[in-house]
Amino acid sequence: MKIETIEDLNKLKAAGEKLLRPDILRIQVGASSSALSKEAAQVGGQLKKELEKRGIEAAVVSVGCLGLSTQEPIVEVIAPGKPKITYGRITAAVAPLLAGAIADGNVLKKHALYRTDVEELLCSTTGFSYGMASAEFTELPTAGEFKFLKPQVRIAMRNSGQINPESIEEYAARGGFAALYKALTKMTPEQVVDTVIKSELRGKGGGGFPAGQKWQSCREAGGNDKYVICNCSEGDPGIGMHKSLIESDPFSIIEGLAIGGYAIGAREGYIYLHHGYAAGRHKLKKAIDRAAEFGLLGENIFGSGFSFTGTLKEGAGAYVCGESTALMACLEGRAGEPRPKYIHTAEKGLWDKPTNLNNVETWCNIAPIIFRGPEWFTKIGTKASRGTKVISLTGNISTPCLAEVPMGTTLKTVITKLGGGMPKGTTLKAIGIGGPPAGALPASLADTPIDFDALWKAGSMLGSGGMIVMDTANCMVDMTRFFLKFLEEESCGRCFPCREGIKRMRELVEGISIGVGKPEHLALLEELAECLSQTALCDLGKSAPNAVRCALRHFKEEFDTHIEREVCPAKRCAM
Amino acid sequence: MVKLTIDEKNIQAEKGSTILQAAKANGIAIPTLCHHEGLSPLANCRLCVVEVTQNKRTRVVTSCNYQVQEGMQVATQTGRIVSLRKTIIKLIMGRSPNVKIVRDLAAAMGIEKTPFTLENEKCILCGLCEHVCSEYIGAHAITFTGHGTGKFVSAPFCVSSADCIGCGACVEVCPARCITKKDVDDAKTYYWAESETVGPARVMYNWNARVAWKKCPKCGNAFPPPSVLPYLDKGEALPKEFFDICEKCR
Repeated sequence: MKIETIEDLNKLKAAGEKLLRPDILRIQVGASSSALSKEAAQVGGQLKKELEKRGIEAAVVSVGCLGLSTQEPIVEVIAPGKPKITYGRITAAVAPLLAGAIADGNVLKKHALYRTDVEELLCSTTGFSYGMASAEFTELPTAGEFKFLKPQVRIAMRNSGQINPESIEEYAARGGFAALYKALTKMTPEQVVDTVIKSELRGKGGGGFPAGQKWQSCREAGGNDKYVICNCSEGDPGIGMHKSLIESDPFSIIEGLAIGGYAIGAREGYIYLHHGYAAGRHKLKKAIDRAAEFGLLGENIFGSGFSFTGTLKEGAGAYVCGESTALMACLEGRAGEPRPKYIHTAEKGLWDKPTNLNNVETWCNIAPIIFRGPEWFTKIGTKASRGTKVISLTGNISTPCLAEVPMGTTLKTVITKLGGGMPKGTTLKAIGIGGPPAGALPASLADTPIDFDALWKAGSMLGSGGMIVMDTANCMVDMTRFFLKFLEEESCGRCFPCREGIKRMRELVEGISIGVGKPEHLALLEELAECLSQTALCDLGKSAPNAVRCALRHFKEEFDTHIEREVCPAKRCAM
Repeated sequence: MVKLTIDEKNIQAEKGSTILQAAKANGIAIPTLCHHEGLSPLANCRLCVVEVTQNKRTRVVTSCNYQVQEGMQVATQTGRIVSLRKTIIKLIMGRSPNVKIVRDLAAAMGIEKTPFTLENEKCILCGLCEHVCSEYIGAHAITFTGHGTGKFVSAPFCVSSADCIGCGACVEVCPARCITKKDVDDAKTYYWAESETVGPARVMYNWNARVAWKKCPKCGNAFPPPSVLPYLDKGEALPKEFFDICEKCR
């Protein structure tokens, strides 16, 4: 069935609504990687069996990632006319208890997290109304009051954990493709570019470059062959934000990419993934095929005259391949090495044609911005950083999780309100945000807001938003050594300063950590830092010194103790 | 023509030319290591960095691949630039302390030793051999293998390169002089348990290639693969029959 008119889209939407809120019970089981590791796959089947035993028919669906990994497996129960109840820690053993509660029309109090009575949808003028709470349910907090969701504003994650990621109907039911329809039939490409410029959206891949500006340069570049690329090659160690978006809501990536293609004048879009990421490839391939089946990718979309195809491409899986010119080299079949960017990729990118590359999280923001308009977006976040940021909170924290917070939220808020604070008996020492080149900020700067400019001023950078919490058992010399080792292994080796320089910085920091450091080594580290930041060919080499500079700015005492007293205060370094 | 200044000297340069080309044409020396006149810029060594001021904004850029623009001000010897170049040389010295060109460059900058622990690599990984083989000669016989400090140049899969034509361009362009070739009358190629004798041949030791000498269609003598050096230095394209006719007959 090809979706060609708004009536067709509304029919698809209605079909999806019937799936999301059927006449029978609907059970949603979170199936993110962390959930699957806790045997969520069995829970769905188990629940269905238990309910059948009690004569209750239920549609059991695997959904994506809500972000609250410590409560996995998460199960949501949607009973007709009743509020949606979200349950946590429903293992196969608990399934019979839950089935019993459902059969009795009760809430399984011990596992109930929150209820949802009504839900606003970002890409739809009408929201969802599940049902008003009866006395039984009012004890539960609403989604808006629930402590994990309260600080969040979920734009990129608007559908994460709420729909079956493989269902185009369910995606449409929550407003999917309404933004694409609006862009293609009611806006000119220039108006779409203008909307993104006015939204002040900054790229979420690390660079923080104003997306609208990039789109405009690409639009203005001449020629008929242009490309848009979605960078899904999340490479920072230990984080999984983009992974979550890809597996929970692949259609939002496709919609954003198609809108971008229209705005810029590109007929082809590429989604670049690391080779070996089977789950992501599977979900994206299915979504692309499904969208093409329904005519939402392909020739003459919505009868607008605009044709667009999306292709999934896999790369070798190096961190440096996340750099836009290295990524394009990979797509061209060459080794993933960056090239000098004196001529921007917006003018000469993939195969020397104008190319616009954005991070997957940036693309996931596009549909709501087009649907709701730029003013809505500028009201969220801070002046320098509009909108939100998906944060992957890991490390020594009580509840590691995935969340999307408005820019301006402080690191402390993320740690206390979303992370549940430090585990008992531990003290916060440092917060790494932005990956290896961003170093880590001390606990004294926990009030720093998540904002491109504020983090840069503090000596770190937002990067891709992976937040790693470190306590007093961590040694900052050791941590710096780890960051440098990672960057050394990931350096492509093309330019001399980065290839040789990161290795030498790592050697020096390693020396300090094992007690053979000398005071003059700190000056040598700064000399190397200056050289790399000024002369390296790409941002990997240019930002690598930041790991050292940030550590020396905020944790110099620790370095001095290692050097002068040959002691590691955290008792971590082997001396 | 484009008007710019280099070290406060008024310069006129051809549109589309690079800062390095404009500097060289006006007698201003900028150190390079991975640059060759006859090839497009690689921008790998980063030694040629200069400060460029345009629209009140100053940046550090590599002069080998940055195009001249009207009104730009270039500074090639500021304290910052000299200091950056010195650090780069110290880094290369750490990797290849016994390579002559590295020592010469260091001496020219007044650097006697490097603070880094010494290795002893003969190849500085500038990329010129791979570059000339693909861009100028078109044989694509060699390439980089690996990444980071573990990189090295080799024949495909480190086996003998069947595409090598023995022209020796790589030998000519290598600044570290670490590629060796030898013309022999009687070369043997070894396979698993056998060997094959390849008559007069040029042996390219680094690529494990033995390229048979050709027979000149005009005089009938066997001749070694010709040297491309004169054409390379001027950046001139090779004539069509370059590899087919012996030098005397040409």
